[in-house]
Amino acid sequence: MNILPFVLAILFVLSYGMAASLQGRLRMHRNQKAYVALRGAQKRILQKSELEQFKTLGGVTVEKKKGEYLSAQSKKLPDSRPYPVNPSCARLNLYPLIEEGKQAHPALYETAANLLRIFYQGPLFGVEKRFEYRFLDSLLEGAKRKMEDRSYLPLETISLDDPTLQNCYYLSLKGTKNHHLSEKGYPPLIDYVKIDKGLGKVCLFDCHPDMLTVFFGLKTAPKLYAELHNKEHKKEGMDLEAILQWACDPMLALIDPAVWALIDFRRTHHSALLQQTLVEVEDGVSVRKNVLLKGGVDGG
Amino acid sequence: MQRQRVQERLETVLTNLEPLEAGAAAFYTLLFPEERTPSLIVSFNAGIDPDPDYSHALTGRLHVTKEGDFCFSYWPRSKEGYRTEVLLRDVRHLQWEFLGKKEGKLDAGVKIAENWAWLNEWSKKQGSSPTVIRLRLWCGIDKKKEREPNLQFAFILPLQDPIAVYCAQFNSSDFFGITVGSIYR
Repeated sequence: MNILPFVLAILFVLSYGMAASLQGRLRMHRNQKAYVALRGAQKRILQKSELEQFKTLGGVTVEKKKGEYLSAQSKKLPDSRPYPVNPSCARLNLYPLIEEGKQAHPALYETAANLLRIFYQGPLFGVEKRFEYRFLDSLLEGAKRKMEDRSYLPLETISLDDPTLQNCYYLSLKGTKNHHLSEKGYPPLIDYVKIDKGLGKVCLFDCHPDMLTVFFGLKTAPKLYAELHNKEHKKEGMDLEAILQWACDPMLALIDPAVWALIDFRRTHHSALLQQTLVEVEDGVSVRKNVLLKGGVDGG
Repeated sequence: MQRQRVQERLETVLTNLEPLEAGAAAFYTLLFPEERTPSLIVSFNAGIDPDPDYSHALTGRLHVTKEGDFCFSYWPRSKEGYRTEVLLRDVRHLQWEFLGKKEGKLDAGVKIAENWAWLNEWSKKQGSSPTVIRLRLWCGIDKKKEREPNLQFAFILPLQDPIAVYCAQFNSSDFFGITVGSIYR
């Protein structure tokens, strides 16, 4: 009797079993690695929130002197750390458009449309012309319905009339984990736009580079960010003429002066916020958390 | 995997507490009729959901049903509709422990320092939220026969009070040993 087919069948079953077992182990290893990275990122967020909490305490800050070990450690910090989240003071406030309409605030309306165009034209809006205006108008209508007598409206609670835009809106709010404007991904809209009754210009010195791109363009924004955060010559402010002269970008001179009126060019020192958004990335796992500091949970 | 899933889901909820309105309670326990163990009522930030009604601040309830399902139910501000997630099945008993400042005489709980204790309940008027939450579950085992739980979780919340929480020792009979240091102004 020819036992060769039998032997081959046994070998096939054994190899299939080994492959399935190996696949299961690899899957488990990946899950464990992601879980450990997630826990690590969450732990660092907890440490950051503790640090923010302790900053509110009185007393003298004890600063460690950087020894050789600490200097070596700081050199190991990866360069790919994300920028801090664009804070609330540096977000474009759409409230005037909801309260008084786009005719009363054309510069703000156009800047908001420009923001949507720069961030989402390629990855989300496709080739449809003036999609950003349709999207913005729908967003403003939905916000107006929801606003009622509130002083602040969370963007994620807004429902758009047009159901085809609702999914687009959801994706734009979330953003992608990794993004680089005009190259890959897109930023979360929730970090760049707000609806708040309090009047406030966009704080230039607190802007994320992507927010600077909306006003100064893709070429000037990164350089301007580095200049604003230059520790060697810390500026208390930087007026528009100085920026235009320094940037040497002729396109900036053509921008409507009303757009520049949306920006606060002084370095403003804000008091500690009750709510902060902290982001941590570890081993490809990104964790984002809104942390309410002392007085936040009990409403005080 | 299931344990990780429960840990992650509860961590997401308990570390994102946010009151629905200023001055409202965001965290308290409540014993409902026909319930053996108290439910934990939380107000939390659910983030961005495809359904705008289920985004941002929601009210949630962690409870064990009569069938032994450890569930998390949550509903929007408008109270229209709700969602329920079954986190664990065959839960025979559940025990919450909250590390916080005790108010008045301590009726239930374990005192660990001058003002601090592990409390078994958190009243609505207490306000704020505990610093650490321990959850002990008896899954598929009877608490009367097995005194120790077979599933335990711990959650450290973003600090409301200036205390330092660090692990001083690990005792095999306890889930973990926590030492609390208080920083006074």
